[in-house]
Amino acid sequence: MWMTFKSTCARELLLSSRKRGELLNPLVFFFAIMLLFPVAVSADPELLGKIAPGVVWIAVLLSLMLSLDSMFRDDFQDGFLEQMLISKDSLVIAVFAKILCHWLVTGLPLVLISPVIAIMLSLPVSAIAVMMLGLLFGTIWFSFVGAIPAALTVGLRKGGLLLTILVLPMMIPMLSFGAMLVRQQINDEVILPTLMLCVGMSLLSMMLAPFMAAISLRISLSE
Amino acid sequence: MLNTVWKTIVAWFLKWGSPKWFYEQSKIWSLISGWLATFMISWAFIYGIFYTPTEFKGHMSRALYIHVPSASLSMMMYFAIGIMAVIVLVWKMKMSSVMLKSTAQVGAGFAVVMFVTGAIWGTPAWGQGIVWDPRLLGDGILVLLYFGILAVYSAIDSYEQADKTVAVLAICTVFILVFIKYAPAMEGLGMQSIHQDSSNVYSGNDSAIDKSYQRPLLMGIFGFMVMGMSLVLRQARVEVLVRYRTAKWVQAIFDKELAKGK
Repeated sequence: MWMTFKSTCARELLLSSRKRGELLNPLVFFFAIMLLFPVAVSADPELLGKIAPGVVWIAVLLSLMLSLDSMFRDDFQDGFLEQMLISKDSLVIAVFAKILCHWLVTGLPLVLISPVIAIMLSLPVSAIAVMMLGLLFGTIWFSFVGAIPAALTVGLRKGGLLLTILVLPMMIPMLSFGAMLVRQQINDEVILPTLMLCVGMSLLSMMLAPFMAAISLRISLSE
Repeated sequence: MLNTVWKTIVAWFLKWGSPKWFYEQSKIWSLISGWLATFMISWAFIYGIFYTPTEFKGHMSRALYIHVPSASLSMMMYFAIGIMAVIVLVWKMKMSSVMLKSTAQVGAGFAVVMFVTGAIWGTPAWGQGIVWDPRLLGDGILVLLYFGILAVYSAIDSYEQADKTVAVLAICTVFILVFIKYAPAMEGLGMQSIHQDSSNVYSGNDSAIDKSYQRPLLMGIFGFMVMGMSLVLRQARVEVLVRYRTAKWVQAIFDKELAKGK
């Protein structure tokens, strides 16, 4: 079991280190969305600061959704997924490792550069640490829960837009709690219950989503 | 004695798992429920329009008799989809996947009706058609989920794969119903709840509302349920014909209809 986890992780990380250009794409997209808001909404720092908590979360969600499609697609095309299915090692562990590595190379960088973006949107500096903490758990939920629709649509030729429609409703709970967390910090309210909720949700998704994603992979590869 | 009765009921129920039996037997059920729904809903609307007093909230509050039944029906249907999804994945019954698809199609319609009537009712009652509160958010997610399911059906050609895909999605998302149900009690999320908590409208004497409102509302709720049953049966009958179009008994039906046309 531990061997499966370790070797899948090593393979994933090696593969993504060979495709550095693709790793940059979500970050560039994140930055691009961020630029749209001062242009389209208002350049007024006060207004921007007010909407910044929601804007940062929406931008993270959209950038992660862009990269969800690639989570299983390359492996589907080169036949690695079939090998995973027929191997005697646990599929759930392999899927868990794949999702975790995907989060490491797409979700974590987004969390790390989010303070830069938050300052650009004049979010109060006191809220940045809490925002990063919320994003850390939020991106885990996005990656793990998003893996289920990604696995379901992997075999489809035109899966991209369908994936977006299926993923968005599943992300709304985390988005609402995460943005609420930042607002509460700005307003000097108690943040612990909301933070605990975010942590609990991300742990729950880590526990359950690999099983559902494994079932989904079996379904979409059965044809 | 009781054992035999139970066994008879189970045998009768299991017969409905066969598409052929379903197609032959469901026509009369669809007709009966359709006419029953017509009478119940017309009674509810006529009573609601002519006998309900309007002093309290104005004429627009009659949207109650469409909005509440379609809202409860769309939630009920999503719950039914969740149950049928488990049956599709675990026992793989043929009819459960047909019913899953037809329930999703009808439920999406009721969800849209709920949203539109809610906006029409909200215009005079809240001063603005859409005021975001937790329950409205949950209902918006429900509409999205319904249309996501329909999108899956139109994107995947293989019936079996589409059914299983929808089943996994439904199981993952059926928990949203808990959120919608208890949304008025949630005062977080940065929104105030404007929808009131659900009142007891069912039992006769301790009912929270007056008899003149209660009678058409109850009749509307049950009428919409019967209408939903009729629509789902009709949709499922079409779906059975489409899915089993190569089977001998469906070919026989087509031949008979063609002969009638000549």
